[in-house]
Amino acid sequence: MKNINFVGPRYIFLAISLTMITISIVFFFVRGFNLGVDFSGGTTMSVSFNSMKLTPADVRAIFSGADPIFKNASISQLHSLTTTGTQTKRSLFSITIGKFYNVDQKDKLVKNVQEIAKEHGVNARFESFQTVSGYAAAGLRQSAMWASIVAGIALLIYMAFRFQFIFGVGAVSALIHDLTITAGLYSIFWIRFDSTVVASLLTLLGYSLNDTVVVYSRIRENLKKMRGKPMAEIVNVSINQTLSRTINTSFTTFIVVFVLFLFSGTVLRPFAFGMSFGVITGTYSSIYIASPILIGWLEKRRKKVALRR
Amino acid sequence: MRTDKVRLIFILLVLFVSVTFMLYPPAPSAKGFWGHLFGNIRLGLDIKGGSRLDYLMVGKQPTPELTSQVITVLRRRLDDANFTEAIVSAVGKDGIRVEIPGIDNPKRAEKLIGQKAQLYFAQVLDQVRSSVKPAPKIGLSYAGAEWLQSKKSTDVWYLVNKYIQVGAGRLQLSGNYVSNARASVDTQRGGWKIDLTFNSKGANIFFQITQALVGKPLAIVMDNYVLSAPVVQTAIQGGSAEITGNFTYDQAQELAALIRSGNLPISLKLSEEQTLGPTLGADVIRRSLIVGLIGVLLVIIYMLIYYMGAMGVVAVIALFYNAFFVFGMLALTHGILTLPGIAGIILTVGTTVDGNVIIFERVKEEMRTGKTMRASISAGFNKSLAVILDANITTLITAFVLYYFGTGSIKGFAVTLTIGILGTIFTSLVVSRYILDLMAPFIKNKYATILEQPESIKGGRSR
Repeated sequence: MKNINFVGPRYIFLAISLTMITISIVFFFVRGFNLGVDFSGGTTMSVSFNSMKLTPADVRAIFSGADPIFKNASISQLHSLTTTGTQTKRSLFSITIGKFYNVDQKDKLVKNVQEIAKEHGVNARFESFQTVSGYAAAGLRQSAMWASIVAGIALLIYMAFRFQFIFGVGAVSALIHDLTITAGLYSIFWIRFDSTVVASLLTLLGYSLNDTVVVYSRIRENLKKMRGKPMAEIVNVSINQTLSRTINTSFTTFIVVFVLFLFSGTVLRPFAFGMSFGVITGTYSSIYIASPILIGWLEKRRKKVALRR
Repeated sequence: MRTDKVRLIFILLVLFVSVTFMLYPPAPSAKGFWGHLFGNIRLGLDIKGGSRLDYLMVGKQPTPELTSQVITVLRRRLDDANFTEAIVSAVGKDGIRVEIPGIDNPKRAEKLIGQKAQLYFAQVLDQVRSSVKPAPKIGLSYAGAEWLQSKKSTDVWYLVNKYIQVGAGRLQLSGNYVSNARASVDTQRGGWKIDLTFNSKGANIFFQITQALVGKPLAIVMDNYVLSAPVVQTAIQGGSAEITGNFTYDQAQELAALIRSGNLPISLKLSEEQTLGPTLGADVIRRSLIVGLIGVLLVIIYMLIYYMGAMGVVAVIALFYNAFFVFGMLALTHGILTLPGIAGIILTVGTTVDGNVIIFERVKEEMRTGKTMRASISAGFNKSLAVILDANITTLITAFVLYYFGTGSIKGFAVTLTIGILGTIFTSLVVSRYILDLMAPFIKNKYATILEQPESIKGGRSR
């Protein structure tokens, strides 16, 4: 069996990771997040037209005619839509605006848009509509925050229960590493950050921990088997022994979430992005962060035990 | 009984239960093979289309009694208007959620829900035409009176008082005394009207009021609009009244429904609306199926190539077994499959494969030490047990937290993930184990030496 030296260049990878974490944190504060309407309040709608030639600029013109605030709306074109039964193709656009619409206001907007669209020679149909008031958004933000805190604490307790303290520290470092960098990418690439993304980040937490746990279990086992060997060697052997499992699992999971990212519609794309990248960073961190972090500490403890004897 | 027999019984039992609940009771609207297979799985509004409306109770401190009263009233209103599939539920301590499948414009439903429907009868003290609200009148006889707009023509204002002067005293008559309301054709004036029936107490009050107001107008007020203000011709006995106003059929039906269902004890304010039309919904279902199939297919190909032979086959069987388990349990628990829920199922593909990979790698390691195939399998499973549990419990913790804190569609993710993880643990530790044991005699341990042969021929067991 091949034996790759993972722990040797650990300081290089640590440096790379620290740089990425720093960049992420800078982006959090400087740029912030592209919050979805469920976190910021506002409205996202998808509207289809019976003309394939329409551009976002045309759509903006139609909507601005109905309500001038759409001059600043974010508008993007989605995949085209085929109505079942017929073969007519419709172009589909996603429109997001920071305003809440109650049912009467929505009704007026729909009527106005349809009228102006008719003047432009096209027929507009509202395919989906999501509107969230500021109050509801604050509630959703709050429950997302609590979910993250409670999940973090619960996972910590589990780790403390199953492993020694230092393993907990290592696992948490890896988790913070994964979360920060993944969240940073949402800020850097300005990908919509909504409740599904929080679900994705929490799942990634579980996934990354899962990966770390597998390697840690092996380290724990080898600490007994390879008594007296240098810590770095024990950790490196453990990583190598679990390597084919790590790669197979990560690769298959990556396949499914990446296919989801490529082919799913706009709703699940931000979720799938987090999962796809999360699998990569989760795998990387369990090999290059979580495990090497243990070496120094375990070595120190072994010396202490030796001195006492 | 031998352990592998017990395993087999469990495997078949779980599979039987899953498939049974997927197929039985047969879904009424199911079409074709796929329709029947998945017909019993309830789809969320974010997949099949429909409207979700979230309201906040405002104006008063909501109590549990008040909330359940609101739900009852809304339930009645929606049933009345034929939204029988609608679901009304409480969210948190001040939220009410209404979910109506299959509609792409919630306007009609919203009109029913958003109205408090506070109905009362009032004495008309004055009537003017004005584009703005007239100034209040001062004087002892105007105490408690207020200007209200006409529902029909917005420039007509009535000065009304709900405390109706009857002799020396004052009487009140509200919608609470109405026992029935229904729409009927107005043969005299054309259009539609609403017939009201009072309960016995209401009938008595109505008689006294109409007796006092003969020759004067009596206003019928709903949610602070005057619906009509007919002049009382004679004192009315028998406890029935009618609201005329040349209504259309729909308007009359809606008003009758609102009066029948009673008034809301608290005001509702819309805080969230989410509507998905049927076209986009169908598109979502098609895409999710394609995504799921491509993902699963790629994983199957990868597993078959990487684990040439028996182990690859076991992994694929495990994958299908867990898929049946997840869908069966969804049908059994009446869980609702949402869009993020589909993501949860897709993720389950990953965890199932993970469970098998952990075991296979361990078994391979044991094979390298020269153990027999059966002994390797046994040792491999025993040593992977803790890791598989650890790995899945961490994900399970996340899923529980998401279920508790998540709203709507995220809950759907938590549900499928939880079922998927439980299925993964079962498939990895029981199903894969059984099949691998079954195949053991046919797998050649390429690392093994002479030691191996006799045991597999005798079919002896390693424990």
